[in-house]
Amino acid sequence: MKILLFSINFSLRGYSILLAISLFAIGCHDVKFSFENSDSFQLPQDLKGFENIQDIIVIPRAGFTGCIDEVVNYVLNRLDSMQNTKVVFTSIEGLKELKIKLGERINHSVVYLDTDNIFFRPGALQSIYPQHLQRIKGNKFLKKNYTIKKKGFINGCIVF
Amino acid sequence: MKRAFLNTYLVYILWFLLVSSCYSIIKDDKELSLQKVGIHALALDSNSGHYHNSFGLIHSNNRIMSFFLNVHNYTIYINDWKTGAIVKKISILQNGPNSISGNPADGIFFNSKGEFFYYAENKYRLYRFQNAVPIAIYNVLNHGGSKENDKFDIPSISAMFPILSMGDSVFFLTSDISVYRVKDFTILNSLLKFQKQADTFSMKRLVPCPELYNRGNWGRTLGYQAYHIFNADSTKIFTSFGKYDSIVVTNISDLKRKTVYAGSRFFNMDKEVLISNVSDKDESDFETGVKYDFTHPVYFKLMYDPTNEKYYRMTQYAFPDNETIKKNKGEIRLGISYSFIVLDKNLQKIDEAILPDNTEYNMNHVFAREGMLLIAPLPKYQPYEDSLIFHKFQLKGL
Repeated sequence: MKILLFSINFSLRGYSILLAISLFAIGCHDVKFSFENSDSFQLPQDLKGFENIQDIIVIPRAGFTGCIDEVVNYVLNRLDSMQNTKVVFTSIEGLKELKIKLGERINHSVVYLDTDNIFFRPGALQSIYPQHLQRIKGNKFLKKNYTIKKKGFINGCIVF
Repeated sequence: MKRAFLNTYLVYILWFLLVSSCYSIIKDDKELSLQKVGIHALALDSNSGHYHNSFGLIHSNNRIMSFFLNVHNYTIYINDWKTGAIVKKISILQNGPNSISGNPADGIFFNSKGEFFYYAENKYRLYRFQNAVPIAIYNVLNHGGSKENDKFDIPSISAMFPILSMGDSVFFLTSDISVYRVKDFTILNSLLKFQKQADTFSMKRLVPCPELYNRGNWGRTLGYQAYHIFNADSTKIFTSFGKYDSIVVTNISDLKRKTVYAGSRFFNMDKEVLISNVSDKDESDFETGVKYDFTHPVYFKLMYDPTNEKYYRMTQYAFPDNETIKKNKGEIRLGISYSFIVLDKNLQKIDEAILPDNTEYNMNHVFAREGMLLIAPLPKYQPYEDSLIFHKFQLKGL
């Protein structure tokens, strides 16, 4: 098992920008505030291109600069070395921005643009943080945890 | 009989005063409002998205220009603010002497002479450009000592936290005051000024943090932000702290300060409950802090509109309940509303108006110009690929 330390350095300022900008929202009352997340994810049967995938990296809210952008940079620089893995961009904040950032890599076999938000549904994965999913059986994937250790920093751990 | 008449008269007087005061309150509530009156569009080329960390306005020869840095191609785009057309693109030199060498920008800033500064936070370097040519590099750390030892936060540059310019000087002001937080939550008693004059930098402690930051912990991040502006016609810095009802006014020349009450009518920071657990050591504490940030009121950006000589202090003010993030159909929304406190040129509070729209907006792209508030929706709500759209709000009842 290859272990890849996924270390994302978020400055406090970057963190604040992430939150302040992406969560600048008004007047909604009907859904709970929660960072809680289901531990597992059931991949839809008819979703093409995931048949032999063992690991999925789900990156929500890409498409603007900030700390999510750092995650995107990290992952994009490693696309070619990923095997049996999909990088899913979901709940995309800025599609044009993301397309510009991806460039030619938008057609990379590892990249999946989840414009229908299949990976960002109530009761499934709705984290505002990147997630790592690992296939355990059939179409069922298990979420791997990330951790936050240092003051002012977020360190995530992706295990392949 | 006479006495009864007098009593009746007094009762009427009291009743009149009571009704008048109530009417006054009601009138205040309804007097000032924000009304969406249209949109404002800036042209984008195919290489530019809808969100830019470094975005600002420049005043030049009676024209207003907007600028932003495209971080994908290291190009500064300048648009005519009135027509929206792109009038100039400045490609930043990435190779050669004094080049940015691929260091990503934290932000850029134009001064009144047309010079611009490019700040690479990852290297603590400030690059100075004239006519698109880099002419100097300043190492911020060399002038500020150790970040760790001195509790010195490297100033940042963005649309929310711009560099301030006054004459030949530029000022970086610390925007994140949480770096002054130590174990017992005591806030070290200053913000920092980082001043450039005649190609040298000096750093001084400038704006003290309000005492209420020493009462305890105010959440994770938002409460610890400080927003500064200059009034172009004065030598004063106006600072809006995230958790302080008043605005701090600091005179640059003699460092004399005063505070002016500019609080929201929807909350009172003196009555706010603090958070007890904000350790970053584990995930739950971190998230507790984040949740606190978005479920408690906070003051945001301070703006000045020279056209009508008004200040605007943005607030995050309404919290329907403590469970406010909406996660539905792939969207994240907060059950938060925003208001703008309007102050006259003497910082006398006029009133407060609620932002009426139900759109999610980009706080980095909020401007007060010509009596209007212009706010760009988040990228996912931008309707056109080739334009950056701002919604225009007019204050009614001023």
